[in-house]
Amino acid sequence: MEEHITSKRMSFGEAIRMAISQAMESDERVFAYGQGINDPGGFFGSTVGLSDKFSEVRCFDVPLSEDSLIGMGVGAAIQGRRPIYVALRFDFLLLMMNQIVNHAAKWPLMSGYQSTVPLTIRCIIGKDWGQAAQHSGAYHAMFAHVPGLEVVMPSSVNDAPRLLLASIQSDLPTIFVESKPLYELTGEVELPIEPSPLGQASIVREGDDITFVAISHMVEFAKGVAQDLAEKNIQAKILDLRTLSPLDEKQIITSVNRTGRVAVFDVGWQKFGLASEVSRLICMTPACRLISPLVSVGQKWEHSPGGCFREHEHYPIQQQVVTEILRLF
Amino acid sequence: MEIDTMLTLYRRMFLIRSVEERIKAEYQNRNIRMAVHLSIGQEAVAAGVLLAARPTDCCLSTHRCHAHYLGKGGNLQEMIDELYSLETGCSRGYGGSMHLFDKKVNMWGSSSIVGGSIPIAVGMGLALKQAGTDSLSISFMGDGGGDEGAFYESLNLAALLAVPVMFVFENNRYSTITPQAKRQAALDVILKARSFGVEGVSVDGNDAVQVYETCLPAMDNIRQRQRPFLIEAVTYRLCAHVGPGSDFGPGRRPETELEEWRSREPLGRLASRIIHERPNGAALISAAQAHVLAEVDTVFESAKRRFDEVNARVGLAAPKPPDPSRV
Ligand SMILES: Cc1ncc(C[n+]2csc(CCOP(=O)(O)OP(=O)(O)O)c2C)c(N)n1
Ligand SMILES: [Mg+2]
Repeated sequence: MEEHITSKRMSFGEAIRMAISQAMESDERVFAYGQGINDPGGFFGSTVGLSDKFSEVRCFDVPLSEDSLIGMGVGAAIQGRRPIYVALRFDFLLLMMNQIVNHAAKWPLMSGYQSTVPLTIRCIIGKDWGQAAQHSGAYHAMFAHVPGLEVVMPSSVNDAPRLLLASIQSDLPTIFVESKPLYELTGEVELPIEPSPLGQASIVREGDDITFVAISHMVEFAKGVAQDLAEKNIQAKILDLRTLSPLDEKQIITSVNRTGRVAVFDVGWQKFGLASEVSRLICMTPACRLISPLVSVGQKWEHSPGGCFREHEHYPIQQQVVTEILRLF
Repeated sequence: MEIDTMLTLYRRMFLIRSVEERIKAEYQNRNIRMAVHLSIGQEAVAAGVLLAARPTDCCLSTHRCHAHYLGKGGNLQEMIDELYSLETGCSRGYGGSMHLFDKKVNMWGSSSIVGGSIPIAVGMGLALKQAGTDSLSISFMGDGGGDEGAFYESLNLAALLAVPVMFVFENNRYSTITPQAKRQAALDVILKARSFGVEGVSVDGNDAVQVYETCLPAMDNIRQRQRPFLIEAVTYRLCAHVGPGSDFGPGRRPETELEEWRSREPLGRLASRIIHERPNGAALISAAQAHVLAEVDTVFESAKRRFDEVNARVGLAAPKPPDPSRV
């Protein structure tokens, strides 16, 4: 059978915009809003032209009232709309905590599961060029800890629009976490964009010696590390989780069972985050054993400094990670 | 006002009052195993506003939501089942007293985070507008809601985006036992709303007829002009902030206030008006009362019986008796 799948090369921002555009086209209940959403720059190109195409009723600029803007999204979602709020930085979601955690995440349960909250919140983790402590936060683990929320973290240009479409179509409130380094990427995107199921990791690289569990832009980083290790005849299998919640526990366990070694590549901090969750999973699974200690790769245990020299040392450095992993063998 | 409308208002208020009184009475049996925030004394606000609303209008409330649920026409048996933690409750046993939900009558729930449901109501109004309906969203809040930033953000958003939402500022002048004047430097909420571009009016919240007659044209106006509106209903809570007791006395609310507001209590006021205007008013009222009381009794007895059946299986221990030092 012939399949009418074409593909097009585009930037990460274009891919995101294409997903929103496709969602708005096929479902009149979808609308997008955010601070400066219709500016010429439009969230690094990811919202450019949407209001021209769909009117300012469906893509509109809003005041700096984060808490109530999300409350408004919750209310519209409860009434069957599918709002997409776009936040420039993850850090700004901390001003929305009351509505995200106390309301969006709890409303379905509090109504006896008779009500849904199909709200999507896009946000971007800042990195590099002096984002400093308040524009670089990576709080995905905090949100993944809350039942009733989905946390989606794409790593590639092809996956991002497909995961965004699935987030928009989901009846649960979804935090869609992008990161600034992803906006440097270009790639092939399959068209039309089909939603990609949430909670399924993808295998980015095959290998038998160690499992890399990675998310977001750390998948690219993990690829670099894997390449260096390959030169020493160590083959890493890379799992791109794609969503943090729901988490593809099965694939993590299956892979760790086979390799017996694991390194976790998180965009966030090394404590109480993804590495902790992967450890929990391994420790709680009967007969799942590590033959060497888990390696946790992520931000150092402080906030990201604003100056470039300190910032450079704050984030993981490929050569150091390679050395650390080589010590396991 | 038509006698039928007055009687409908009375019936709704009497239903709310009787349910709340019955909760008070049953509370000592310790099988309503949750905090309850009663609306005794404030019935005219829920009854007046919601009789003026249409069934298609969507309502949100606060921790003190019993009256709004009943005023909107929420199912009584399901409400009491929810209070008795039964799966047949309006929120399937997941919500409890502070989260009453009945989609059939467009009661879309409530938030027990003060101010939390205000922006959500704005979003509901936005959705109703986007969907091309002429329904409106109704946001009940206490005066405590006016302490919260979300209230002001919501006023701005509703005015800016021209959202059909009715803010009902149910001012019982207290947040628990802290008076409004100890919490808010400026008390005039109509002035505040106006400064955000939202028109509003203040009414005697213990006069159901006045609440109803103010809401009716205001709601028409919201529908036609697609603009928000705020109504302040000044009222008073006659029992404790939470639970069946009272919170009057030294260090709490002054007893003189209780005396003053008892005399302005809304059910008695409407009853005297009906009796004054109709020779057979007293008979009409007693008939309405008897009908409501019988229904309330049936509903409670049914829920209690089924609570016992469930607990015979689950075997939860009897709760500790209430702490007498707490009001
Ligand atoms: C954000 C928040 N702060 C504090 C509380 C604790 N609390 C529960 S009800 C209440 C009083 C609220 O007063 P008001 O809004 O006037 O409503 P009323 O109880 O008078 O109906 C308070 C302070 C809460 N539930 N949420
Ligand atoms: Mg109050």
